[in-house]
Amino acid sequence: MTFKKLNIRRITQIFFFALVALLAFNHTLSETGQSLPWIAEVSLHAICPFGGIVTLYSLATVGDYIKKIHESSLMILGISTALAFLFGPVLCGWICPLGSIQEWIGLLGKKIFKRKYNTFIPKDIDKPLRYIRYFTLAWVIYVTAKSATLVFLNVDPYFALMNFYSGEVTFSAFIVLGLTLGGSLFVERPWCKYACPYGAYLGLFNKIRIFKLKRHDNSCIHCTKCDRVCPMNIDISHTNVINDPQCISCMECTSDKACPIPNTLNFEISKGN
Amino acid sequence: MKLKPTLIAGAIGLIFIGGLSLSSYFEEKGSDEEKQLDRESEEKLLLEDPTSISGNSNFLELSSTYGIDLKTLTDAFLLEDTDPALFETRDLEHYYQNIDENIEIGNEAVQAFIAIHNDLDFEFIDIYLPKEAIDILKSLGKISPAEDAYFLDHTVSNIEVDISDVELEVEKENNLTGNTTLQDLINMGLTQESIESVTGIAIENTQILLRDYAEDNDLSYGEVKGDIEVLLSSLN
Repeated sequence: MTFKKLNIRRITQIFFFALVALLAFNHTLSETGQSLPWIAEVSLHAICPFGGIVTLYSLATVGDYIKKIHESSLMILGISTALAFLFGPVLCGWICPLGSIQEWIGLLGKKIFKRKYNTFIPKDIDKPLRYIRYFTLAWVIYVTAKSATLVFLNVDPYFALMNFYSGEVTFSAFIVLGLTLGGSLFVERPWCKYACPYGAYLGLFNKIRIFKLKRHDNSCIHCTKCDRVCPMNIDISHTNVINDPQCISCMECTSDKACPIPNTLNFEISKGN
Repeated sequence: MKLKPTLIAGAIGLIFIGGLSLSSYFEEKGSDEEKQLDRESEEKLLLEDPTSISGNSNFLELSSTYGIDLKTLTDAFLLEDTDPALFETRDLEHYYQNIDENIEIGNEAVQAFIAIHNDLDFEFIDIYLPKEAIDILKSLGKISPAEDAYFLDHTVSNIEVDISDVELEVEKENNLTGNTTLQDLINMGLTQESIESVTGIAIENTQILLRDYAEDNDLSYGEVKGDIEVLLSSLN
């Protein structure tokens, strides 16, 4: 494999998946008095940026964090927001372990269902379902502010994925995780598309991100390869500047990957539509 | 300007690692500043509230902290022949020999002296000072009429002192401390018989402090301690 063919995004995903899994495992080990040397003993809450969002209300009103949330969550929230402001939700497309595992299960789905994969849900049902994640975001922020506890933990599939062996995961979270991973066989990234509250927040930055995904219509041959590879089912071939909140900045559609025409679909600084 | 996937990966790494490193740096800096603020608050409290003087404060520290001439302190508390850097305020209780058992001149007395000298708020309840201390405060014009009236009945004169009964700081680095029990001595290798031969007093309870054992039998703790140390050194 040459350097040019290296899937940098896949490597980045594997790195962060392994890192988060290792940190979560080491935290569980540390609670029994054993831990791996050289590895930080941080809890998953300490490295979860969504914890930063849900604790903002508590921080603003009483000046304290929600129980289990740390200052580091705010730091990671800040970093991922900065990245979103620059490039859009790269955390979703390059870093999030839950997004990654959905994608990897999706590879199996693609092998099984081939071209039918990721087309099972009709567009007229799919479109309204995409708004559910905003309600999830609002609901989670509201109930967390009201109760000052991590209510979302009861259904969080990310926490369930990384702590399934710890005994701390609720039954409902396992159900949600199961539906997410099982659904990934038929739909690409179902949690990201329909339910993820953090993706809902980061996706909003696609409207203002500095580096935009731009399709140059004058060189585009309308082969629709970009539409077919897009994990979020965005209609790229009919859009000049892709600022859809669902875009996860994975760059799979760009001329560096799927688009057969050089310099036609790029991530670039755009001065306008 | 076009972005390649490699650049995105690089930017993610840089911003993440840079961000987390900065966060750790500022957290540590904040923690250091917090510790510094805690120290400054503690010092401020100490300066404004003499009751925060602890029994393990030595007279040299107090002189430095409160800006009181060291000789003033040592003269006030009859410490001319001692090392003020080693003499702690709590040691006064064992230093003064002939004070009525209902009268205590110790750490609180030093707090009171400093409060009067530096004109700080202090509540005088059962506080006694050596006559020398009162005389010094009067000569410096530090004592108020109310305080003067209070100390008419709270002054102790003709105090006898004995440094040998005081366990100075440097001695605490040795094995024998004020908390050493007879059992500790036995654990160090001495026998009950050897201890009894030095003191001439039968041991009935090995759990009592060496100090109490000596004082309960009208022996000088300092002398008994010295003899025990000789015994211990002969073991080595």
